[in-house]
Parts: sequence; C-alpha cells; structure tokens
Amino acid sequence: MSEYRLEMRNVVKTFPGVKALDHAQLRLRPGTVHALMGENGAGKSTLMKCMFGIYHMDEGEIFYEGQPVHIKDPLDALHHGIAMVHQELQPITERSIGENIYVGRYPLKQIGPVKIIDHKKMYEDAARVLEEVHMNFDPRAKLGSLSVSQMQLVEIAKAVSADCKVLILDEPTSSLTAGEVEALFTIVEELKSKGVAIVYISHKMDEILRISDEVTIMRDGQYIGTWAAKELTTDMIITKMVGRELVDLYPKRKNVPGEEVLQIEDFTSINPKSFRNVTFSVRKGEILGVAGLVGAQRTELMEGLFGLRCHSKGTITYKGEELKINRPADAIKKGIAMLTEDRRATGILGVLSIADNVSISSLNQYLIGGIMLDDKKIEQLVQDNVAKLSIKTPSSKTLIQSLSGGNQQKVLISRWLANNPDIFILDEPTRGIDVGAKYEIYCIIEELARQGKSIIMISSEMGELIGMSDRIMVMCDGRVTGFIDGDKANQENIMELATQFEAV
Amino acid sequence: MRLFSSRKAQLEQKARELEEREARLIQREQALEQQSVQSEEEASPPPSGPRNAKERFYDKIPVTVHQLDIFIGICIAAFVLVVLIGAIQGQG
Amino acid sequence: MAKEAKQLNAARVKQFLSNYAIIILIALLALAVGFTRDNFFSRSNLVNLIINVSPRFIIACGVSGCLITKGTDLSAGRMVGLSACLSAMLLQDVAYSGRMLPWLPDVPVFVGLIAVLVICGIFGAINGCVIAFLKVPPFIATLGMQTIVYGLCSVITKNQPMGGYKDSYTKVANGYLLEGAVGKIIPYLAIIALIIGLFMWFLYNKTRHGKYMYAIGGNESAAQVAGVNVPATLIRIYLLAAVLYALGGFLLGAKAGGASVQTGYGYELEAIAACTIGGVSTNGGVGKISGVLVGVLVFEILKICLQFLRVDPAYTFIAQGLVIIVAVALDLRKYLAKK
Repeated sequence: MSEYRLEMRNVVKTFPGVKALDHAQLRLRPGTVHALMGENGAGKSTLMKCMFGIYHMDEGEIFYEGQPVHIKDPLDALHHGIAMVHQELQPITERSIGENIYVGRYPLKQIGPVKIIDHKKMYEDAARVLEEVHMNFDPRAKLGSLSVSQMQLVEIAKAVSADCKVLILDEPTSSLTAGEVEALFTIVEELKSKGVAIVYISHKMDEILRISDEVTIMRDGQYIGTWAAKELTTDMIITKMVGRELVDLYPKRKNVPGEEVLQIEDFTSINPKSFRNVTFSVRKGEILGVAGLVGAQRTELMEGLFGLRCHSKGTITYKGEELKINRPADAIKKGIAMLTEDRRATGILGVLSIADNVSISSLNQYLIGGIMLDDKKIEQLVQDNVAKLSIKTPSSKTLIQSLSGGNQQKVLISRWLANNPDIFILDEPTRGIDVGAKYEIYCIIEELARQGKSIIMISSEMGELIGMSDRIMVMCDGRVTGFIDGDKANQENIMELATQFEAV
Repeated sequence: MRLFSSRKAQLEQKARELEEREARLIQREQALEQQSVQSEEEASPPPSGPRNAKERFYDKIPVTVHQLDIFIGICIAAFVLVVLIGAIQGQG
Repeated sequence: MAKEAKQLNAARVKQFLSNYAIIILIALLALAVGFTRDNFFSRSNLVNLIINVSPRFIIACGVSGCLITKGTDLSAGRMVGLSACLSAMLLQDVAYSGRMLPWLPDVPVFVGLIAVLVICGIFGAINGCVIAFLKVPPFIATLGMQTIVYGLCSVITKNQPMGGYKDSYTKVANGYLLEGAVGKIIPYLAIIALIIGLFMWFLYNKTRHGKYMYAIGGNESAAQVAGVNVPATLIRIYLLAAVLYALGGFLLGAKAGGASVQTGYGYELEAIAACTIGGVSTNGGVGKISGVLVGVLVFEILKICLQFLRVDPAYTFIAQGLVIIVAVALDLRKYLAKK
C-alpha cells in the first residue's frame, strides 16, 4: 500500500502551440492539505483537469493508492472518489439548489419498468449535505436566488457530498467573504480528519500558509518542487513561482493628450435602469480609463455609443460634428472602433480564418474592379499586422479559434486598425490573457495613443486602470460619479466614487 | 466621528470585495487562457447570440452523442436492409 | 497510455466517419450495383446522371446560402413548383389546344425565364425581410412562405396539370452541345449548371457578400459588431436562393415537358440533405459549393442504383428517407460533439 493516496507522474499535455504541462507531477498524502501554486499559465488548473478527467493526458500516469488508473471523464473521476470544485462556476441558475448538487447523478427510484428521479430523496440528501457544510439554504430554492459567494459555497457542498477521497479546490475563496472563508476552513479541517487528501489551488499567500501542510510549486507547466508549508515564507514562494526577474507591468507612457475631440452629452439609455445622463469628453491622444463595479453599466454605455444599444436621448459630437449612430456600421464609418468585452461571443468569428477575421471590416478597400476580392492584398494586410503586433500563428488560414486569447485580441485590434479609426473603445482588453501578452497589448495601446488616437478603456483591474490611464472616469449604477486624474488616482478614491450610490 | 469611521469601515469592506473580485478575474484569466485554445476540451459556452430554434430545442432535451451514434447505426442498418429486400424483390 | 492513444484514434475515426459515412456507403452501393448489373457503368447512364443532377444542384446551391447563415428554406420545393407552372403557362405552344392563357401572344423563352426569376425573387426577398427585420426564425418564416406559394400556385393553375410546350422551351433541357457527329455529349443542362456553379463559387469565395455570409453564419453578433450589414446580406441570400429555385423549376419543367401544382414537392428536403452530406452544416459558417455538388451527386447516384436494382418505389422512398435522416443526424452529432 502506497503512502500516497494519489500520484501523478510525468504528465505531458499539449494544446496547439503551447505545452501546458511538461513532465509535471504531484503526490498527495491522505488527510493532508496540499497547496498547488504558480503564476497564471503555470499549469495548475490543467493538471487538475487531467486528474479529474476533463482533459486526457498526452503522456503520464496516475496512481490511485498505488494502483495505476485511467480516468476517462469527470463521472469516472467521481467514481474513483475524486471531486473537484471549479474556478469558474457553471451554475444552472434556473434549477433548484438540490438539483445543482446532484446534477448528473440524481438518486433514482423504480416505478414499474421505468426509473425516474427520486426528488424526495434528492432534497433530503441535499439538506443533509448543506447542513454538513454549515449552510442553511433551502435545497428547493432556485440556485439563481443566491449571491455569487453563496453559489460558490454550494459548489463546495456539491464536491463534499460526493463522499470523496480526494478533493480538488480550485480557487475556492475567490468569491467568498471573510466569514465564509472561515467556514470553508472548518470544513477542510473536518475533511482532513476523515482522511481526505485535499488539493488547494490559490493565489492567496496567507491562506496557503495557514491551511496547507505541503506546497507544490509549478512554473511554465513544469514541476519545480514540493516543500513543507511551515518551512516556507511568502517571499520564498514568490521567488520560486516567478523564477525570473520581475519586469515593469506597464510601459512608459509617452502620449501627450491634445485638445478635446469627442464630447458625449446627457447620453441616456432607453432602459431606465441602465446608463443615464452620461456626460464626458475625450481628448486626442488620451487614454480615458473607465472604472466601476460590476453592474455599473459601463459596457452598456459603450455599446450604446457604438450603436449596439438604443439610447433615448443624448448627443455624440466628434470634431464639432454631431454623430447619428444607430448601428455599428454607422460608428465604424465615422472612425470609431470597439473591442468588446467577450471576444468569444461578440468579437472573433471563430470558424473563420485569421485572414477573414482581420479583413472583415475593411473589405471595401481590397476590391479588384469593384467586385472581386484581392486575396493578395488581404494576405499582405495580414502579414503586415502579424509582424507589427507580433501575432503568433502558423498561417493566415488558421482558424482564429485555435489561437490563444492574447493573439486573438491582437487579430481583433488588427481588424480595427485596417480602418484607421480615431477612437478606440476597449472593453476589458486584457481579460483572459497571460502576463506576457498583456504587456504587448499595453504597448500597442500606448502606441495608438501616441499616434493621436483617443482611447476609452473599460477595466476592472485597478492596477491596469491606474497604470495606463491619463484620466479615469468612474461610474456607479449607470451614472458618472466623477473623474480622477491619472497621476492622482489610487484604489481608495476610485472605490469611493465607484460605490457612491451603493446601498449603505 | 462614529459616522466617519463606519463609512471608512464600509469603504474598507468594499475595497476588500474589489480585491477579491480582482483576484477572481486574475484566476479567470488563467482558465480562459487555456480554454481559448482548441482541443478535446470542455470549453466555456460557445458564442450564444440569437439561439436557433434547433439550439433552444436541444438545450432542453438531453441527447448524448452516444445515443445518437446508436440511432445512426440503426438507421444505416435499416437502410442496408431495405435496399437488400428491395433488390431481392426486384429480381423475382 | 496506450489505451488513451487508442481512444484518441477512435475519436478521430468517428469524426472522419461522420463527415464521409454516407458518401462511403453510397459509393459502396454504386460499386456493388455496377459490378452486378449491366449498363450501370455506361455513357448513357452517366449522361442521365448529369441531367438529373444539374437542376437539383442549382436548387441545392440556393439552399446552401440559407444553411450557411444558420437558417433554412422550406419554401424551396414549392417555389420550384410555382416556377415550373408559371413557365408552363407562359411558354406553352400557341397552337396547343389546352393552353392555360389562350389570350397570351407567343412569349420568347428568354422573357418567360426572366419573368419567373423575378417573381420568385420577390418571394425570396420577402422571406429575407421577414427573417431579417421581423426576426422570425427561418424555419417558421419559410414554412409559412411554403404554404403561401403552394396556395398561389394552386389558384393560378386551378390544379390542372399542364403540357404542350413550345419546342424552343423544351430544347433548353433536352438539347446537347456538339450534337450529331459524336453523338450526344454535353447536355445544355450541364452547361447551365456549370455556369451557375462557377458563379456561386465566385460569389462565396471572392466577393464581399460571400465573406459577410460566412461571417454571419459563424457568429452573427460578432459579424454585427464588425460592421457587417446583416439584414441586407440575409435578404440577398434568400432572394438569390429563390432565383435559383426558379431557374431549377424552369429547367425541370422543360425536361419533363409538363408541370403541375405537385411539381417540386419535397425538393427542399433532398436539397438540404444533399448540402448536409456535402459538408454544409446546419450549424452554420461552413460549406463549399464543391461539397454541394458532391452531396447532390451522392443522392442522385443512390436513386439510380435503386432503379437499377429494380427496387419497388415504396422501398425507394424509405431508403431515401433513411439517408436523409442519417444525414441530418450526423450533422446534429457534429453540433452535440462540440458542446
């Protein structure tokens, strides 16, 4: 019998263009909390998804209590006693809490020849599970009625209810309040005493040092080492995680804002709960950051300016001319470009090639005889952009959906650059992008501003806002609450304006 | 004085919440980064946009690929059967 | 680990099969029939195949645009019928006793063709407007149009079958290029289909309209954000589709020498199945004209095989129906496998 509950050895996993796991390994002892740490992209989540059967390893072996096993899919993992609480929630908000907990493994009862879901038993079991994790939710209530942090607790209950021997917690406290974190730690201690092996993935140093027994650190998909938690300090962990010199996160900004070119006055949505009475202006060569909490209607406002949403009143004036924008094509004609928040949903044309994605908004420029598309010119355009923005792709015919997030974003930027717009609206431009690519995108944004373009950048990352903006406009609950100069901005004054109308 | 400090406490609470949201976004980055690559993966929901009648229909009725494979196999077998019977009858 | 490699291979095989299963199946059938029946691999059979494929290819090209934009067009069959009937009414021989419109002077074939193209085009544009502006799902919109067109056709033909065409009209479908010396080689129908095929290929690959069409099919919201005029493109697609149905109906009428309100009934099913077999997925965003041709060929070869096997028409229906079901099921499988 092995001293380890679960072992992963020599795991290799490659996605097109990137080696996510490079001979990674992990050894879990029963009844311990084993922290898994590393930067974004280090491979922690990927390794756990291999353990849980979401991904299949290209190479590598998994041993469960000394025996080699092959885990085909999450249901198989659950049968082996492995449960996972995911980073991103996949809640089925329309269904009850009980159904969410038992999704895919509903208790069944036999009625004649047919097996149907035994709702009574399901809710009884759910109530018991919720009690075990000290949560008082009514299992029949709709999941959507809970707050995000409560939904995360239900995720945890779901994993705990599976009566597992190995529990993977992937950033479990990201949405929890301090009190809820304590409750989680109590549960973890209880599970430890029952002999469960727990993998704990988190970025929060203080939690790691408090709750874990051992710490494994990964970097660039590789296994760096395992240490006892009590031998480590925060600095030691960071050094091992990064392993290289930290560079500046944001480029030096040399753009010089000029005169005002864009004025928005009293812009109001047709939806009374959305943005209203928004008035602001943007200067040439300026980066205007837009801050606010989730729900502040920043995206909605920008969509309204771009013609994706209807407005009931308000004016947009550009270089003295009033613009009538009812649909995106109007905005594009007047020199406005918009990078949307969710590039997978409203940005990239996934099944089309990079060449198609880059050229789609500017096809009028590449015509032979007014009708036929000049493929050579389009190819030239793509190559120019690949070089200019350092887009990593095998060829221009590659489907855009096989590129990484950062490269996809660069393709989208190329698309807009082809029209030479003067105003760029960027909605969370670096969301879902790794550190290296983020820096490249910041440089691109800075370069655009230096060329005299006006940039409006919505961001939820304080660091990004403060590091990149010349001025910051703060919104709360659909209204503009104030403006802060870039060099005077800090977390406190932004937060104060962002929460001005929140219920106190 | 008391009013001021309670407001400060609220701000601190909000700041903490924002930090937590920041952290959550950082973590989402990592997951999204790896999910944005194509492979045999359980990707986040594909672009929704206006849902087809078909898509809406199949969202509600759970049919697995495996069940469909069986169905297709049966249809193909039936096809071969029908052609054979028809051919034999055509001979006579 | 070896097990995993095997699993990956199994998945790849399944994917290959789901793309080519039907083609392989029918190819096997054709080989079986060819080696056991005389005259299957003959020139006359080949010409016969080409003549049957040509108008159906044109109709399938029309539907392909709708499928690529995640829509569908259930009115195709009835529009083919309407076109065939209108052509009949306009192009019957003046001397024919049972002429539908006795007061009509002799109409040049060309004029008759333009007329039906325009009339069906208008219906197609209506389809497009209803789908693009009223946001009615294409399935419902074209289903409604299907019944309207059928009703209209029924009214104007008074449910009477028509025949007695002028020679210049029937010649279009029955004539051949380079006739005489070496015998009948290239039917006019084939030439028309070829021209349409080349035109559609050009449209889909080398024009803005084509790019916009694929963009809308790939992701309509993203296409809109990128500035694509979605309503205009959709209307063009459904208009063009209807024009192609009209051409198909015109040719089918000429080939058969007659038309009735039942002409074209159910053609949309075959056209959609053919497109699906040829790689034009109902999931949108993908599809090539060459694929449409392959799909139509497969279907027509199937029909000819069954004829050669002297299969009872009832069984033929069932067999064809099964192929349609498998085609749609495989297409659905691609969609589910992605999720």
